[in-house]
Amino acid sequence: MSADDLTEVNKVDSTLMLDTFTGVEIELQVAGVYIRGVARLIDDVIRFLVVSAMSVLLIPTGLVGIGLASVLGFFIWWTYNVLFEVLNNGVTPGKYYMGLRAVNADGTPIGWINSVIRSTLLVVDFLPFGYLIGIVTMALSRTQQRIGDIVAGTIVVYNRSRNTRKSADIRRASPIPDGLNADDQLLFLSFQERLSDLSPERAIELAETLEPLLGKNGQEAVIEVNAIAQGIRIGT
Amino acid sequence: MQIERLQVVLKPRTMWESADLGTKLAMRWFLPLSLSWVLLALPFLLISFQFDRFVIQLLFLWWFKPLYERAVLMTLSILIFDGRITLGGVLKGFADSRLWFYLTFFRLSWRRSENTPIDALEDLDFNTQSQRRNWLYAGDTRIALIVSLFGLMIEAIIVLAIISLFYFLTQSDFNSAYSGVLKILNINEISKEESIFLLIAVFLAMWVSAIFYVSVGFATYIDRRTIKEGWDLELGFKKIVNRLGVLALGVFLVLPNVDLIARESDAETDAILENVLDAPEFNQTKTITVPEHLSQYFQDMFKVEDDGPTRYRVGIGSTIFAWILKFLLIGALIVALVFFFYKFYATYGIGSSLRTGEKSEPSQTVRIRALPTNLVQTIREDWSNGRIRDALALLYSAAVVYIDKKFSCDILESDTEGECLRKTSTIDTESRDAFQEVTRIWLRLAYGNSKPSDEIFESALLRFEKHIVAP
Repeated sequence: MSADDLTEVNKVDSTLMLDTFTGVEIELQVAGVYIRGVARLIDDVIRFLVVSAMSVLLIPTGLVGIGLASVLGFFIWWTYNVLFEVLNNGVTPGKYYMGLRAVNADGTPIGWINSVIRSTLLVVDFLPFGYLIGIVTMALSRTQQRIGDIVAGTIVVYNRSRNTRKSADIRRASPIPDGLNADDQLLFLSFQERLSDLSPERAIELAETLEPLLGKNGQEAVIEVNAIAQGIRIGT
Repeated sequence: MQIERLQVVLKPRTMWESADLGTKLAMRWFLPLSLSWVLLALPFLLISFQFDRFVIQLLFLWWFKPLYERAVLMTLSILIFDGRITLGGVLKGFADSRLWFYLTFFRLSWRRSENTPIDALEDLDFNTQSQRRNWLYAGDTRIALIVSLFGLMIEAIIVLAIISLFYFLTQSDFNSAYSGVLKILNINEISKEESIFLLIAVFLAMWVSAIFYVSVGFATYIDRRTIKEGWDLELGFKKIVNRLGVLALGVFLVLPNVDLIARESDAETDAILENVLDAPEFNQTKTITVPEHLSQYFQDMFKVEDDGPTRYRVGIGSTIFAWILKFLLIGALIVALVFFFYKFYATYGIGSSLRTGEKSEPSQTVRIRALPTNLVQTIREDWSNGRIRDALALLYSAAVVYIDKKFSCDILESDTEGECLRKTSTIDTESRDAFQEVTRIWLRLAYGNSKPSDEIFESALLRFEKHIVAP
């Protein structure tokens, strides 16, 4: 391990690396308390609205209606999370809107037992008010797990793939230089994709960082980095 | 700004991922950040005790929040660049004239979390700073709003939790504790001691909230600059230059030729590679025996996670812990379910096979050794003197004794109420209905704690007298 790598070890990030059984390493972005809080709020509002609407419709019909509303309300309130999570691949409506997904800690889809456990223990996470125990546990957990997640062995991850934007007009592609490893090549691609976020001056500054290697300055350096990125993209 | 020294992994993040990073930063340096906040805020808390009215005390403490947060921000800005905290370094942030805007005109601004890092760390004039802010955040202030609302919510939750815990732990019963909580929250009638207690609770809540509020704002700032200024690209490109160095200069400058030569000789290279891979050195196999699961278990349990920037793996230790908890929970659920069904059948199940012959506690009170001579009068006296359970227990057990004697139903000492009803199902209708009524009101009291009205009791007693006791 190089000195750079050793320095990187202590840096703060929320990425979770998982070794799969096939030996492939997958990277998951674990979701934290803020986005999960909003997703939970959405789910709670939906549940509340559905149960309320049903009660308004059923209760005036008499005793049978009250009984039916109670049973259905109980059923919806307690099975909402489980049914969505298991049948919809870990995604409740709130999670869908916020781009999240509940999965097992090894990245596999969540099952019935784990989903029932994490949903049941929401009651514990809610205590004493407003999910305080859940919030504290998530803040203390490296993988942002509330108590229900810890017991069920689940995590909540970001579902969205990163947006990759089309690069600006690329007229030229250069061959991939030798010595560039996969991470280096991703950097060139990232530069190309993010050109629209960078000011022209900053783009030149960044491209000129490679001046010892490229021997180019100014706008020419930007064009050359772009061309190498294009070469990587089309696999020259 | 020396971005090489930044203690976070630089990469483009969404605003939500920035908030997650902020949480991580807060937890990483919770103690030093807390210390800086408490040191500055504590004098304000002590001063606030001097005011008479709680509203003034609270307002005073709350109004200077931007001041305490600045201490946290400066401490975090030092720590995040791997610097050494000095008093001068922290105090430098207070020289910023814009801080006073946050204590006056912009005190209610909910964008403070994302604006203050620019103010404190970039020495810009007012107009430039405003442009800079708009460019950096591109008008997206959602996360600032969410963080502000979340901070308020956390403060409220913590205050309520502290107050509730205190009263529920110190009061003997629920009603007193509940009244105490309601009383202290009525700030118009709060006593001096209660106001001090409530103010300390608010202080603690503000402390925890501030650490996360500032950290998330700072993380958002770092991530926005990473996106807008390509900090991660700069670091990455510098690493490439350092790694490849002078050697690469030649390689990069003759790139097209090198690549063309390589491309032309692909077939030749493949042939060479195949030869190499076919060589004996690459075809040796060796079989070793390892107790796979055990070794994996210990490897995972004691694994030193040194292969990535805070990219941690899910250790098997925590997995086992989770599994143990999971099985305990499932076991508890199963036991609870079994117990529930057992109780259900024991209570309502007629002729249930789950019964073992042992009486549940309420039923045991029915079995009395001898009936009083003036039975009906005794039952009525018990009832009128408020001994409801005694009255109904006596009524029910007397009914069982008389029914058994009168109709030879073969009722055993161990029979449940349900079994008694089943055994009396063939007797005459009036006696059976009278016995059913007595049994029903007894069961409602014994298991449902539901007291029958005087009319129902009297009716049951009369029917008992007429159809069960009478020959």
